Amino acid sequence: MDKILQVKDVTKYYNGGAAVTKALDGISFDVASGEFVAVMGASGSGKSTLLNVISTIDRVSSGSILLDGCDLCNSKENELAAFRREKLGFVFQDYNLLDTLTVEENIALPFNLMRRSAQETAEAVQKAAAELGISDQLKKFPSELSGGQKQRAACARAVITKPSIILADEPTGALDSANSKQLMKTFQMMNEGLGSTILAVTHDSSVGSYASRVLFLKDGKIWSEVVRGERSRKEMYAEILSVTAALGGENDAC
Amino acid sequence: MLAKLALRNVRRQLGNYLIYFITVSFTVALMFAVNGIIFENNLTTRAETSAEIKSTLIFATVAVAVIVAFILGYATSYMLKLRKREFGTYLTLGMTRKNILSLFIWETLLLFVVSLAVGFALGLAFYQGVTAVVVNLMDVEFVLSAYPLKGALLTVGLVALIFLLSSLTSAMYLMRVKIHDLIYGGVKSKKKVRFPVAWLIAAIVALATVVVGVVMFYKGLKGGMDGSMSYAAWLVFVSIVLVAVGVVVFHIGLAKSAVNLLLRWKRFKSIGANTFTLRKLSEKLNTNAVASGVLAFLLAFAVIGSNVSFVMQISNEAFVDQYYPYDISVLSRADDKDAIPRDEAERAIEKYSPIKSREYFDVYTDNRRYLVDHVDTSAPRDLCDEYLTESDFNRIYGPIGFKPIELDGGFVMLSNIESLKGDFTSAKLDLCGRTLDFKGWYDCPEVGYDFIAAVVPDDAVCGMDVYYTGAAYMLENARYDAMSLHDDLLRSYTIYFDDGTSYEVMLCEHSIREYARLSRNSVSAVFIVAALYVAVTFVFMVMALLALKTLSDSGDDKRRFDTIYRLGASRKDRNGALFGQTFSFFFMPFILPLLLSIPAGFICSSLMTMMGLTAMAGKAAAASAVIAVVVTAIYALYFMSTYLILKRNVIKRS
Repeated sequence: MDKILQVKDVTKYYNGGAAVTKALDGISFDVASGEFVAVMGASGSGKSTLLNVISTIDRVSSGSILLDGCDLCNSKENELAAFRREKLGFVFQDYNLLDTLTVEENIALPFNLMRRSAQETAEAVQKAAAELGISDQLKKFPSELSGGQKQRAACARAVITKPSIILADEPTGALDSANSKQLMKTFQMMNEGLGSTILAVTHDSSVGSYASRVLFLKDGKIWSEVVRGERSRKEMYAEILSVTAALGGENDAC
Repeated sequence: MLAKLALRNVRRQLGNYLIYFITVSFTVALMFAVNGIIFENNLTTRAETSAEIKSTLIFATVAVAVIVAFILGYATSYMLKLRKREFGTYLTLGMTRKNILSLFIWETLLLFVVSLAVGFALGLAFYQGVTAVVVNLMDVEFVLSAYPLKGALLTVGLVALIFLLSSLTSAMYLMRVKIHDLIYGGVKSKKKVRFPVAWLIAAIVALATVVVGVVMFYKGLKGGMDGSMSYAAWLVFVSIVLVAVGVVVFHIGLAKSAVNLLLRWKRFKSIGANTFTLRKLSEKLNTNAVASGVLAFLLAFAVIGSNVSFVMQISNEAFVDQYYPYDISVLSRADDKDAIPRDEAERAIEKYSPIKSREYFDVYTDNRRYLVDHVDTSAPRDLCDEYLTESDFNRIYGPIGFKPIELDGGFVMLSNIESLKGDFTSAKLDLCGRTLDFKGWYDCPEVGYDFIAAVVPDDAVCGMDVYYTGAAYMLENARYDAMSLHDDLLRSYTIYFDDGTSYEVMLCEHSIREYARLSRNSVSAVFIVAALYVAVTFVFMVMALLALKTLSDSGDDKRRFDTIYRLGASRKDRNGALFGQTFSFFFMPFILPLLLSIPAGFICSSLMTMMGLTAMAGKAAAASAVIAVVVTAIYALYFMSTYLILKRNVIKRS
């Protein structure tokens, strides 16, 4: 399969005055087209930093990140903005829907920023809303939606531009278990039905169980990797739990 | 402990408090300067109406203080909003509401004390500046004077009043707000603006009302000046109310309609970050619609007040030159036994300045009312027709630049009041066996006549009584103590009423140009200082309020702009969106006040023309343009500062 994302030997230092923290320590991995990869790890393991450097919100200290063959590390600000606009879709823990905009306007925003015509935008919004099952919520403001509906609206906004990869940051973090399950089914549909490539950062083992591959981060390095292969979701879940336990156990041992 | 925490908080919050601090300091400085002028006896006693001046200025300064208090109270609530989470945290840590309130009051008090100190220091410089302006306007010698203590005390009292009133709003908020709302922010349900089309119609109607108000104001003023309208004062009053209401409603209507209607334009809203900008703007304008209307009213007041005060000033000199062509002139009833004798008056004048030239003349009457009745049949019964001979006319008016009159066997009517110029086309005067035809009106100042008079050939006044004896003087000195000369020429005059009662007044029959100039300057100086003080304070308040309101939203803006940054909005898009939302919010209340500069300029210029000061008409229009440019420049400066601070907070950190 084509490699959509290539992360090569990425290191990230944070300079907090006297103390220098190594948040990412020479991480390398690839994500293939159509893959659903989850990144798991304890707090401070470097998950969010990894997502930030891939999403170009933060810069790497060394190494390179290629998306669709383009090197993100040497791009100028305007190119990065265009890259985020056209190649990335985002789903955030706290939805990041703009509460002054209606659901329809929130979903249309990436298309507007791409200067697409009003007609084309309207059609794309209808299609994305139908795929995510929120067609009847379009005229509402985010404050009028439930948590699950908000997250589906955020997903619709993420898929509308048909990005190369969708980045999800703790997507179930603000949802109850029923809505979490619903959202993961949505992710599965986006991945299998719409062919979206997804990279999700999560604490939640059940989220990981929907992924085709799970990377475990510890101290800024990839500590372990679990590939679903032919395993069922339950088996995947059990495997993740055991790796997580081992990860925590090692921590205890330290 | 709370005082210590308050001190630390103020130091830490310096950036947020900066605009608030600058505004309070400047307001205190202005107040300090104006209060100093009120109690500067050397200046105020110069003016003839010093008691009225004092009370007018005290009223202005107290009224401004109350308005400032309410606006600052409103502004303080924005400061609170900026620090909601912090106060929420104090509450969860076990502080009582009383503690929080004390903390906030301590902080505000500290800010006010520092502002008072800075304001006093700045105010001393302002005071000398305002004094210089006032003495220049009054045309007296400038003396760098010590600041009057009473002025400082009044300022401290007013600042204390402002502090108490403005803290009241914050106190009420802090005593009522829920901890949850402080920490997580109140649940803000996004309200759609209802009936934007209806609001647009309201805005259009309000705009039409403003236009009608301006036209009525012009007509009322014109009617009042030329005396052709008995209800002119009412018309002016109603027109001012209409303009005020129109300005407020127009801005409320515009705030609730314009952006929402733009949001219906699908093609426009789908371009770049337009929806993002318009939605935020719509929310801000909708929730601040009434405030926007009130701010617009204050700005309109500031713009119009400045216009009127400047026009007053520029018209003074021209008015005096036009209506007082001689340094001194006098017209006394020949039968008035109590009039100051001519030689006595001249001795009094020569105490102040040698007389360069003098012209004596007589005004005659045949004791009829033929001319008077042509103008106004209801004129007082003791008024009779007045006649000035051709040679006297040319002798009086020739030296002051009027071309010699040509009677051509007829008579010419004199008046400088348009409403008195009745229809004389068929009028004929039978004097000394001759019939004189009407030859036209001649517009000249009332030196040699009272209201209206006919200029007739010298031999046409045969057998007539002398009605008035007159004299006109040119002096060697242009500047002298005209106030004292006026006092020296005062005489007692008894007014008799039809019911037999009488009333004695002190009056000066002599028209003294220098006295008129100083008197008018004194009154206009006070008016100008009061008007500019109110105008500048209002502009400051409006700008500070808009700036604080804008900055208090920066937390929310940062979150919103972070989101579109992640969604791939370019820096240009984000800068454009932030500029658009800030600019529109800032300038919305400024639209009509700025546009009102145009009719203000037109009306002021027309007023000059109506007063016969044609040369000043252009200056009046130019003054309006200058005021509009200066207020816009100050406004733009405040806007740019706010925008740059906001941009640093919102865009750079994204």
